[in-house]
Amino acid sequence: MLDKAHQSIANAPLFSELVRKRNKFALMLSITMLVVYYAFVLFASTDPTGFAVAIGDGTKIPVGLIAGWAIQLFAFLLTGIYVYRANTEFDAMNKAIIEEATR
Amino acid sequence: MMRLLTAAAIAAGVATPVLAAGGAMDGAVQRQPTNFMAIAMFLLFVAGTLGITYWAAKRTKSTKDFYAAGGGITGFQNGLAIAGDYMSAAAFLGVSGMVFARGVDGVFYTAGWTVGWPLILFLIAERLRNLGRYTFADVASYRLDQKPIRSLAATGALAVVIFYLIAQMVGAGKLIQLLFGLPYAYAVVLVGVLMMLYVTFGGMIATTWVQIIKAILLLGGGTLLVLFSLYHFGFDFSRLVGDAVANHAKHDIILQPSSSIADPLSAISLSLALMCGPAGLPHILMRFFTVPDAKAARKSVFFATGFIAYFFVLTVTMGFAAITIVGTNPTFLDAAGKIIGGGNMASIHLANAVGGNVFLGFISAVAFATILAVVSGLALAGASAVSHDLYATVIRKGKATEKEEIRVSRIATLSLGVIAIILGLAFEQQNIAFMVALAFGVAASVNFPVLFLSIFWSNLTTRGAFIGGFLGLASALACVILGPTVWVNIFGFKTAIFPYEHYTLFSMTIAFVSIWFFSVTDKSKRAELDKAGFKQQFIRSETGLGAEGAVAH
Repeated sequence: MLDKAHQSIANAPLFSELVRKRNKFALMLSITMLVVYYAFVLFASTDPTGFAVAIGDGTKIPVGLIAGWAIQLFAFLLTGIYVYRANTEFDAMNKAIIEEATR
Repeated sequence: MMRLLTAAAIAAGVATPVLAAGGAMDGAVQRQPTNFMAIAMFLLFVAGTLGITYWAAKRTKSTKDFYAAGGGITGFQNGLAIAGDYMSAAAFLGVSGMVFARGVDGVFYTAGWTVGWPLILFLIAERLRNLGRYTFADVASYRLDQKPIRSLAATGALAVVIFYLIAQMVGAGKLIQLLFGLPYAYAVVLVGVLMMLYVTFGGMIATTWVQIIKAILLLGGGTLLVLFSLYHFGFDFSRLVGDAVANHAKHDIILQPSSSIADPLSAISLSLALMCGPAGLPHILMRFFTVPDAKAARKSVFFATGFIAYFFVLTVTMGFAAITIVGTNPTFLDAAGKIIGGGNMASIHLANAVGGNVFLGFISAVAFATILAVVSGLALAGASAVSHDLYATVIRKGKATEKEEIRVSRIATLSLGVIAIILGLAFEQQNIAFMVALAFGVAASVNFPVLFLSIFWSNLTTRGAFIGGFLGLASALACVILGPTVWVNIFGFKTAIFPYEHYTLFSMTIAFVSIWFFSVTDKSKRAELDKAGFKQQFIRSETGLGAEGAVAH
């Protein structure tokens, strides 16, 4: 069913390594994001007064507001981490796989 | 998805007229005196974007130009365009209005709207780019039987586009009455005609650049608005929050999440819609085909997430600032002490208070540009579903020439424009909040499950995707119609047959389970072909071997 290039990729150990590494990494980051986000959702829905506690003396800024913004920043950082590793390590592996297969 | 929440928040009886803008501005609004400064700024935007459309029209020759801007958009540009699609008027005016009315609830919503993006990046973006050409149906039908799956995907896409367009058109009409003091009908026709011009002549190239310019204006305008507001508090954020607590009628209560966030089942249902919604919106998915390769697709999500996260910090800050600056200034309040023009107007009044009439005009024009850009993206996505999926693949079985396909696409755009104008006028007096709930429900319960399983599940079959997808569509429609939003609020029955406002948990589960069931019990010849095709698809989705490249201009 597969043509020569696809068959050669299917058989390449480097391809299984790439898929394994990348999927594991992506899954790990996804779970991290979900855990952090649902911890926040739980925090807000079960402890509204805790959410409103000030971050320090002499200010009214609530913990929940900073936590929410921190999650937004965290989401951005996670995309940065993924893009960095994908652009360097994964892309290099991918390039090698394609070159090998289409030679 | 903002609008889903919007719809939800409104129907849940929460005091937010707010979230409505762009999505669902309901009820009667008071016409404001004509604001010539705002109109002048807006005309400048229109003139500029029409210039871009003229330039784009000369470069739009092939179907690839028309649907995917020739694949020549960079990751950074696409990041801005995606952020532009996402930063609707509901996000801009709605979130700040929500904070103005109820405080920190706003940040609960904005955090949810941001976390879907990393998930799209990790799981969907690159694979989508590697497998597709112009529409998400390309991906969903990659190894399945073209005719049924394209028909399903096109139905899902068109349903989302039309429900969404109605909400946008009505929102635009009401917003323009408020901002510019122009009659409702003028606004609806104006939005419809401009949208048709951009898309028909300029295709994806014009649509993308209109979206990019709007995103820059919105991010820049929002930053200025927040800086001017911070100046009012001596650039002390702590003082800004402290003054908000002191000046808001509910005082310290605005620092706590409101009771609407308490129910776990609703919260989960809502969060599913938040995360899976954008991964099923055809106009957002289409953006991933405008970049040259998977690497650029990846980068675009990185930039988009950054812009979106930043923008949400701005809108929440605007809301807190407005509590003091707008909420204590009688100029912006009516006799009853309510904000003039409704809660959606918090940031607009804030602009007036901190920047005067010129800045007010600028921010108003930006708000209108926002609606116009989102509507154009929707129209293009709808037109591609008609021309690329239905006409070229289902009806002509891939034998249509590029010229014919583009012609059908343009006709489809014009038809969608006319439909949008007619429905926009017809729904003026209706509560259109449910339209938005429907759009997102369909996105999360039809488009997303079919797309997701076609990419990841080797045993998916044509029969499973087709039956499951339509069951998802039917259950989303049923949940909305039988739920509190339509059954009680529109039809006026006492109790809803389906009790939940947030229904995505149910309709999405129905879609996933039935796709699974009708796939594993499928023993047909076609099912064998579907499964056999997975390996080749998998290799292409992971490596990009054989993926669409960019065209040089």
